[in-house]
Amino acid sequence: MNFWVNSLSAGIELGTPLAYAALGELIAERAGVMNLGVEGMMLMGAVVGFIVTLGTHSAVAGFAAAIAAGAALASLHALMTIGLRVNQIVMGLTLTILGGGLSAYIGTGSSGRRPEVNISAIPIPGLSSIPVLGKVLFTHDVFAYAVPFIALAIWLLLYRSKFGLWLRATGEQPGAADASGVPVFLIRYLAVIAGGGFAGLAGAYFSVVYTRGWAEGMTNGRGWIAIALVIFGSWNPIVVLIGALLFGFVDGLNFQFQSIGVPVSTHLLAMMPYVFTLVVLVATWTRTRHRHVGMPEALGLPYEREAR
Amino acid sequence: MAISLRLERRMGASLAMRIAVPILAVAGGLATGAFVMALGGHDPVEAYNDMWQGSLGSAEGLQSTLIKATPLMLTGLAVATALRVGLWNIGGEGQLIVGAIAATGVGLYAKALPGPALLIAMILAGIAGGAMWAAIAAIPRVLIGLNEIIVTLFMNYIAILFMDNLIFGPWGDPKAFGFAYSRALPDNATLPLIPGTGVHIGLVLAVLVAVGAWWLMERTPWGFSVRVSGGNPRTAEYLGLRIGRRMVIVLAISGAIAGLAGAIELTGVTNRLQEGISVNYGYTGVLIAFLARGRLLGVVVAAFLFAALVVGSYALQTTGVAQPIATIIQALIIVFLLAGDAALAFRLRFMPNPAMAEAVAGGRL
Amino acid sequence: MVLTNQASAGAAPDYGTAPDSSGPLLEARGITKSFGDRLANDHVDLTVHAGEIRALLGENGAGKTTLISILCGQYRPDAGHVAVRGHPLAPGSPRAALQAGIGVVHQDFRLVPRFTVTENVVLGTSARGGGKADHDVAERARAAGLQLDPRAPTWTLSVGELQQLAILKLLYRGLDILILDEPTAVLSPPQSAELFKSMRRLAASGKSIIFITHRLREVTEVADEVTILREGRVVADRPVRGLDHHQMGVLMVGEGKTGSSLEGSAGGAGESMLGLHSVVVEGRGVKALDGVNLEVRRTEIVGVAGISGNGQTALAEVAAGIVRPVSGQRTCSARAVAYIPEDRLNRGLVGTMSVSDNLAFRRYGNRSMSHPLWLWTDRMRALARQLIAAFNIPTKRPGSAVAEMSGGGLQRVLLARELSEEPDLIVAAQPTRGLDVASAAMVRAQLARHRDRGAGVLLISEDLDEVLDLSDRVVVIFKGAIVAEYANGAFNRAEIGLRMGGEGAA
Repeated sequence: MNFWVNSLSAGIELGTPLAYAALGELIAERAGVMNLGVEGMMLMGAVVGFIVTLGTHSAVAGFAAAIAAGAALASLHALMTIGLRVNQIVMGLTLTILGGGLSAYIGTGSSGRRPEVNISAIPIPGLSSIPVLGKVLFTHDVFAYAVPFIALAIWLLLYRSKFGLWLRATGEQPGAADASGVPVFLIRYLAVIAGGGFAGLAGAYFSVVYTRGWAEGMTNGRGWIAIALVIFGSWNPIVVLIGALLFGFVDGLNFQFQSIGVPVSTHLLAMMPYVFTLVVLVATWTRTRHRHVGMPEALGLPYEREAR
Repeated sequence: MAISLRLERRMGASLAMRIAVPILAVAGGLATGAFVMALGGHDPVEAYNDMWQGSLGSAEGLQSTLIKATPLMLTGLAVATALRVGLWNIGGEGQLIVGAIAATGVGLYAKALPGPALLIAMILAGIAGGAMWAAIAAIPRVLIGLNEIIVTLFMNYIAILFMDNLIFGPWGDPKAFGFAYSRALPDNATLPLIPGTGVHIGLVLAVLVAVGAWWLMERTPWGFSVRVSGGNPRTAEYLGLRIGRRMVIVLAISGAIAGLAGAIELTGVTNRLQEGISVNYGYTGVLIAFLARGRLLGVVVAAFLFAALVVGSYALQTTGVAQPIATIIQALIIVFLLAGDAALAFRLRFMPNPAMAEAVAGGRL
Repeated sequence: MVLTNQASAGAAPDYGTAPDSSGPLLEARGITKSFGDRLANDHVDLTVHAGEIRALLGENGAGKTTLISILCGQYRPDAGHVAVRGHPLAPGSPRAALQAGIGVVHQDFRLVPRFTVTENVVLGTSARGGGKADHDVAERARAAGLQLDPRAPTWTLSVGELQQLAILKLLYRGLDILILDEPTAVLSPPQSAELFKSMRRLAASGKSIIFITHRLREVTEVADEVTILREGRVVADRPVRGLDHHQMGVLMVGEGKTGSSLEGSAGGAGESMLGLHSVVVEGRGVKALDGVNLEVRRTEIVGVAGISGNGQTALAEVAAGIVRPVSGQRTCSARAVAYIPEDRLNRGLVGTMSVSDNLAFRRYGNRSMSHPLWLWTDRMRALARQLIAAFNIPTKRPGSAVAEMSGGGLQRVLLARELSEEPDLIVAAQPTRGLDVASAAMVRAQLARHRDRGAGVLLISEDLDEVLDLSDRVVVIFKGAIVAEYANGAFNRAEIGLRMGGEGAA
C-alpha cells in the first residue's frame, strides 16, 4: 500500500515539470509552430533559474529569470522559423544544441552549490490527512497544485476566448486567418515565446525545486518527452496533463522499485517510461485519429503571405 | 517618408551568392563566437588559431578530422537517405548504438572467428542491428500513421539505456570499477588503417556508402520510385507504387547506414562498447543532411567541414577555453548558415512607400 | 484598432470624416506587380462607385486574381496605390483593407474546416464564438436570406453553403466593397441566377460589388460596368450596355485568337472501353458515388456535366482505376489508360522533381529507359526534349523543377506524359480549369484528336459550355448519381442546367 502511495505521489512530483513544458509546447504547436528545442530551453531555464535563485535568495526572482531565459531562446526559434521561414525541425535541433552549450557555459562553477531557499511541499491542512488520497494529492509544492488550473486555463483560452479562436485559426489555416484580419505572425511569435517561458519554468523546477542543484544536461531528455506528450495528449491541454502525470508515475516507479530492492537493473527500469509511452501511443493511435483530434493542420509549415 | 521593410521570395540566387553566403555565415558564427569568448576573458584570435591547427592546419589535426568525419558522414547519409522517401529519421543516435551493441555482441561471443572473419561478422551485425532498430520505427508510421520523428526519437533513449544496462551489467569490464565500458574486444576486431596514415578504413567505407546510396537513390529505377513516393505520396499512389513497403525498406537502409557507423566507431576508435560512443552523431547527422540540402554526395563534404569544426573545438579545450563554448560556436554557425539559407531564398527590400506615408500622416496607422 | 464589433456590425465603419458621396468608393491607380520576370499587373487602374456592380473580366492569367489580392492587402504592389473614399489604404495589410471596408470571397473561400459556421464568421472580429455569437450569426444569415446552421462544423457544408458562409462573413462585418472571385464556378445555373439576384439586392442597398469572371454571358447578365484585363493591362473600362459578347471576347483574348469550334466525331462509337456498373464509392463515411452506371466506347467523348462536389473526383478516380468501388463493378478493356487528374500538382506530378523526371513516370521502368541496376537519365532527357517540343511545354531545361511552372505548363507536362502512349481510354477531370486560352485550346484539340484516333474519352468538367462543345454524349451527375443522359444533337442547355442543380423531371 505504502509503495503505491509513494509511487503515485512521486508521479505527481515528476510529472509536474513535464506538464509545464508540454503545455508550453502545446501552445506553440496550436499556432502551427513545432519547437523541438524544448530540451535546450529547459536547460537554459534550469541554469538561469538556479543561479538567480542563488544570487538573490529569491525563488520568485529565480523563476522569473528562468521564464525569461526560456522565452529568449524561443524568440530565436520564432525569428528563424516565422520570420526567416527556416525549417522548424532543423532549427529546433539547433536550439537544443545551443541551449545545451549555453547552459553548460553559464553554469560552469555552479554545480555542487545549493540554493538556500527551499520550495517545500505544503500539505494542505485537513485534505492532506485523508487516508491514501491525502498523501497522494495534497502534500505537494505550489507548482504541482497550480498545474491543473493552468491546464484548465489554457483550455479555456483555446476554446472560450477570442485569442484562442485566433490562435487555433492560425495553426489550422493561417491563410484564412490572415484574410480575416487575424495578426497571424504576431500570434505565432507570441505563442512560441510563451511556450519557451513554460519550458524555462519547467527547467527551473528541476534545478531549484526538485534536485536543488545544477548539473550539465540535468534535464536528461525530459524536453523530448514533453514534445511526445503533446502528441500523446492529442493537442488537448487536459489530456496532455494526464499524460504527463502518467509518465511521471511510471518514471517514479523506478525509484520506488529501487527503494524496496527489486533486483532489476536501474537502466532497464529507467527505460520503462519510454517503452510505456511508445506502447500507449501505438495502441491508441489510429490512422484517422489525428483528423478527429486536435493536430493543427498547418503544424510545421511556415506561412508566407505572398506565396502562390 | 515612411520606409517599409519586407522579405520577398527571390527567383534563383546567383552562383556568386550561393558561394559567398555560406562563407559569410560561417564567418558570422565565428565572429559571434569570438564575442562570447571575449566576454569570458579568452583571446579569440589565439583560440581560433588553435582551432585551425587542431583541425585542418596540421597533419595530425587533419587526421583527427577525417576520423571524426566518418561517423558524421554516415549518420548524415542515413538522414538524407530517409528523406528520399519523405521520412525524418531522428533516430540515427539509437540506430548507431544498436549497431555498436550488435557488433560488440559478436565480438564478445564469437571470439573464435579467425582473422578478418570476426571483423566482417561484427560489421555485418552492426548493419543488421541498425536496420532492425529503424525498421521497427517505420512500422507504426506505415500501419497507423504515427509520426516517425517521435518514434525514432524515443527509440534513441531506449537504445542508450539498453546499452547502459549491458555495460554496467553483463558486458561490463570487471576491472572498470564503475566506469562505463564493456570488456575489451579481441585484437582481430580492430579496423586496419589506411596505409601510410593514422586513419582507419572506416572513412573509405563511408565514402563508398555515399556513392552507393547515391547510385541506389539517383540512378536505379527503384530509387526513382522511392523519390516519387517521398516527393508526393498521392502521385505515387496514382502510379500504383506501394509507399508503405518503400518506407520500411528505405528506413531500414537508413538505419543500416547508422548501424554501420556504430560498428565502425567500435572497431576503429573505441574498441569497447562504452557510454559516449555516440557524441550526438545522430542529431548532428540531421543538421549535416540539411546543410548538404539533402544531397547524398554533398553530405560527404558537409560532414568533413562539420568534423573540422568539432575537432577544432576539442583543440580549444586543451587551450583552456571551456568545452561548452565550442558547442555554442557550433550551434551559432548552424544558426548563421540557416539564416544564410533564408537569405538565398528571400531578399530584403527597403522601399519608400508614398501611400503608407500618407496613411501614417493621416493617423490611420 | 478595434474591428467592427457585434454591436456596430452592419453599420458603416467610421472613417473620421463624412463619406464623400460624389467621389468613387474605391480607386486604384497605377497598380503594378511582378513575380520574377513576369508582370502580372501593369499600371492597372480600377474605379468603383457605391451601388455599382463591376465585372472584372479576363482569361486565366490575365492578372485578375493578382489585382484583387492587392486590393485586399494580401499582396503588396510594386507601384501604385489604392484609396477608399479618398483615403489611401496601407498596402500589404489584410487588416487595413478590412477596416477600410474591402472584403473578398476567395475562390477557395479561406475558411477553417474545423471551425463552426459561427466561428468562421466572427474570426478576426472582437467576438469569440459561443451562444451569443451563434444567435447573432443566425439572425444575420436570416436577414440576408441565407440558410446556414451557425453550429454546423464547416467541413460538413456543401460547396454552395461554403460560398454563402464566405459571403455572410463579409456581411457580418458590415463591409461595403465586396469582391467575388469567380463565384459561379461552383454553382449550377439556377444557383448562379439566385446569386445574381442577391448581388443586385446588395448593390441596391449601396454596396459595391466587384465580380470576377471569364464568362461573357454573366457579365451582360449582372454587371453595370466592366473592366477587361489582358496580359496584366486594362484593355477596356466602360459600361456593359452596348457591348456584345463578340466584342468582349475579342477584347479579352485579343484579335484573331478567339477559339475555333471543333468538329464532332467522325464515325459512330465503337466497342466498349470502360463500363461502370452500379458503382458505389465511399469517402469520409459518405457515399461519394451512389450506384453509377456509365459506359465509354471507342471513338466517343462522354461528357459529365455537374456542379463541383457532386462526386466528380470519385468518378474520375474510379474510372481511371485508382480507387476501387465499395460495391458494383468496373470493367475496362483498354490496353493503356491515360488519366488527367483535376489536382495536377498534387495528384499526378511531383513538384520537387524535374520536368524530365515527371515525364518519365510511366516509362522509367521500361527496358528503353533502364536496367534494374541503372537508370538511363540521358535517355529520359532525350524523351523529355522530344515531348517538350511536341507539346510546347514552356521550360528552358528538362532539368528544371516542375513546381516552378504555371498551371498551363503543368497541364502540358501531364498531357505529354499521359497521351504520348496512345491510350485507348482517357479520363480527363477538369482538364482546362485555370488554363490560359492557348493551353485550353490545345487540351481540347488533343482530346478530340485522340477520340478520332479511336480512344474513348471520359470528360468531366464543371464548364458546361466545354462539355457541350466537345462531347458526343452528355450525362449529368448530381449527388453521386447519374441523373440524366443526352445523345448527340439532343443537348438542351437550359434543361441540363436544371438537372445539374437536382431539378427537372426524374
